[in-house]
Amino acid sequence: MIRKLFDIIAGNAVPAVFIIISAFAIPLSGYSASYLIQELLTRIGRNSFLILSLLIPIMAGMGLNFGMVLGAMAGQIGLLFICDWGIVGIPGMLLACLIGTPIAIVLGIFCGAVMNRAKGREMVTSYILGFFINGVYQMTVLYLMGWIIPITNPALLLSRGYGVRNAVSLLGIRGILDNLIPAIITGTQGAGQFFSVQGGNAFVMIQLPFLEGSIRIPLATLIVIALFCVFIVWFRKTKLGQDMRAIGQNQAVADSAGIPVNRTRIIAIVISTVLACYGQIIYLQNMGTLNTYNSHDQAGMFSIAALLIGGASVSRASIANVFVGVILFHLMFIVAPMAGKNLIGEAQIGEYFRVFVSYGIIAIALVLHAWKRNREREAARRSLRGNKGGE
Amino acid sequence: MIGRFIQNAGWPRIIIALFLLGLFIAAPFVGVRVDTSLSNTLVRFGMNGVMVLAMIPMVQAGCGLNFGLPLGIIAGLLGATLSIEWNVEILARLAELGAQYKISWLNEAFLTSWREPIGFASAVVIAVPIAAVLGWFYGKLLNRVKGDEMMIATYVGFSSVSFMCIAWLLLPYKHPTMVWGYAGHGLRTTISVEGYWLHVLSDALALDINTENIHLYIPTGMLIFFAVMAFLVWVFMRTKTGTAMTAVGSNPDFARASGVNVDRMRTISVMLSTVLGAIGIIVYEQSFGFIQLYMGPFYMALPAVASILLGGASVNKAGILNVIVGTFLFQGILTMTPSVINSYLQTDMSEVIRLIVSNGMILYALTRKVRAGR
Amino acid sequence: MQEVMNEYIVLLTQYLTQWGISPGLAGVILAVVVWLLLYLGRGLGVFRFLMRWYQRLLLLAGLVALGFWLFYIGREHQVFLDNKPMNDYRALEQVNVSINGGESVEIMARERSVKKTVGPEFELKAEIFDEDGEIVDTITRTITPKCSKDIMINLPMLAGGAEDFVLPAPR
Repeated sequence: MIRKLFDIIAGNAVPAVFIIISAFAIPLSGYSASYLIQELLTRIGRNSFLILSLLIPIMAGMGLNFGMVLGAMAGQIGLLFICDWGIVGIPGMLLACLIGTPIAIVLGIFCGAVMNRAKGREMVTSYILGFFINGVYQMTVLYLMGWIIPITNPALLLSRGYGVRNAVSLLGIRGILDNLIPAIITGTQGAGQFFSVQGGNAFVMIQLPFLEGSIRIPLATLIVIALFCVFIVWFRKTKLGQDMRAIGQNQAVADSAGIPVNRTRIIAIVISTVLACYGQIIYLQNMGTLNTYNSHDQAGMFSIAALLIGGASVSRASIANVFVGVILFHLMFIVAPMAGKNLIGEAQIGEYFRVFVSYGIIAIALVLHAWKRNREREAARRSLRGNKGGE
Repeated sequence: MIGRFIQNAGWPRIIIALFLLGLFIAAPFVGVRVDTSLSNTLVRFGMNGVMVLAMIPMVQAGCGLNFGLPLGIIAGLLGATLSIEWNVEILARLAELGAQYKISWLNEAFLTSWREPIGFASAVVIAVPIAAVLGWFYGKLLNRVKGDEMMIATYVGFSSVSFMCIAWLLLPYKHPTMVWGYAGHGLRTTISVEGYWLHVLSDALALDINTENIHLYIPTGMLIFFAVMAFLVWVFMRTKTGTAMTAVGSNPDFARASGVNVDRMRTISVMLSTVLGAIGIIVYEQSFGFIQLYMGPFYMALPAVASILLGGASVNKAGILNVIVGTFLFQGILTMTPSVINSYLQTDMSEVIRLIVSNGMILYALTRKVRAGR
Repeated sequence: MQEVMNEYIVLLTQYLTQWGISPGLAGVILAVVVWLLLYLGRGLGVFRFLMRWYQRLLLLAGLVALGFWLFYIGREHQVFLDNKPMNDYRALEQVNVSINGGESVEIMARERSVKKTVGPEFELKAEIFDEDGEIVDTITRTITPKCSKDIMINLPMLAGGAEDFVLPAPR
């Protein structure tokens, strides 16, 4: 019984540590519960989709897909086009997805093919590939857009006549999915019915007596994320999903069982890239501004760190890990600067601390994974030799 | 003959070499001086050479490309900042020693005239042990994660840089030129080394031809320093330890069978790599003139990795010649593209070209089929 | 490129509206047709390879059509409301204009204002005042900017009953 409990804790050491850190940092930061819940809900809606896009390559044994930044770039290109054309609202978002999809597919196929040439070091390869494609992306956006690729909106272009500005306002699609179905949690004040009408708009109202103030829920975004979770659960059961899991277990065995290993691996990456493209669009509609040259960089790093904080490893990740991760990671994200300020008197410390934690957690997860795998390999070698004496 | 040459050198390398040659040929036509460009290339070669050299031991020992170079750089930064912080104390202590042991040349006059080289030397002397200790831990870590070194090295580098960001704020530095003026504590993001050891190597024996027709500057001292370091590495790789290290890299099982302690060799290689990284950044700073702290060293590993690959190294084999050729090509492109392309297109494409060339090169090396063994 | 696309969409919608099909309906019909073809094309063993390409092409065409449709319904226009004299029509004293039943904007003589609308058509309601501040006329018109980016509406011409009151937007 105690042993079992110990196993559970040891198996979830990373989330446990983060829960402890948060438990200390939250009171230090002095934020109210409703503020924290509001921020967390916003960030769950903003980031979950991006993080979920990492699950499928992990299933196929390809590790953390650092190449998801490729998908994010594809999404941003779609957004740049709809901004130029002035397409707004839900049609704008859908059109951005539609434009981003073929770009993401092409990039995904490229990424998958490159990773197939570098088996055994997929992660570092996809990581460098992200940088490489970032170079190509910058070339496209900074030099070709407005010159070869038609972009005419002067609000988008640099004053020199070509190249896109560093910050692009996405006012046309800002919060469009988040506020599609308005929903509010209120404290004691407010009307007593489930649906209420305010200023001509219908609201879903939920009352929680202990809360002060009100919290807006990005209901439509959460529904999209829920649908996506259902998709992943379903996908695992399809033939393709089963193939991917087989490849994740053992490539040689999967190959001899007649599964087209390379092809399936490419498909896994393509799916992940396309989903990352949609994820980035959802992320940016919440943010409301596109940092043309930085937004995608952060997307990859923060998503991977969040997934790992949720207790996932390089070879195993579930939907639960995604949500635990996004909550814990962003809880720290919200409270760390304020806690740092109140503790040491410098908000900068908290900033650096969360950057350090993001990188550190990825490093630790990678080390633990490699360590475990090497030990298993060693054990397998030993059992193969039998007991004819040690090395 | 030509086909064989191409096969040996590899297509990307030839394309980049031709590109660089084209830039040098095109330079006069767009009004860029070849001699100043060449001087710039040489200066940058000297600045970056030692950091590229730091790749050799780890590659040869089979630990892959050292994406964890920032760890060494941090040791170098600690050495550099401490040498400024303790500058006065070090000189005083040396004068004391001179008096105590009656060393006639170690007197006031000597210390005043050699103040800057002593500052530089003290930076190196402080940095090397720190780098060795960090490298030892780093090596032990990499021994446990064989097969995944590169990815883990990257993140060890990143997390150490971001950890040091906190440390730079909290460490009790006091020297007024280094800490924020209004707060009185916490190091600045960039610290000038002027008045301490600015250009001590670059300007030593430097050849500065500045006539009407020609502006040529050759940082002889820095190039000699690089040559000495390269020679030391070359000699080391030919000692018993060095050959054992190479054996570990090319065939670990064979090396183990012939009685070489694989893990020990790998640890030594990582330590050496880290120490070279630490020295490399100090050389870089004395020429650049500034110590860049906080996120400064973050992406410094990538240009170094790209340089050595550009010079013809692979993920598991690298030599001095690769370092020299690669650094020259890479830095040549970095200096020539902005000047030539800017004057032609009126835009600064250097950053984008740097991104594409360096990462394309690393990608090419990573996806190349590795020969027998791993 | 963009001009060609605009023109193409305008022609397409004109053609479709001749048959009484609105673009939205066309999208739905297209989707149904694509789905039907995909459904019917499943089991044709001999043409399987061909069918696969056929289906893919159709799917692609469907997606492209969806894209055009989204472009059509989601386009945001700036509507410049211009109260300046033009072609013998005198500027109006005051006009209150509201678009799609939204908040109305007051435009005095020789003034110009701008409003944003989304979609291929919008309803414009103009209340025209005389010198004494009395409403003399209320005009309601449905205007279809289609896919063109920005348009300008000359209010004196609208009030005067001229048909060509929609002008290109000022630069």
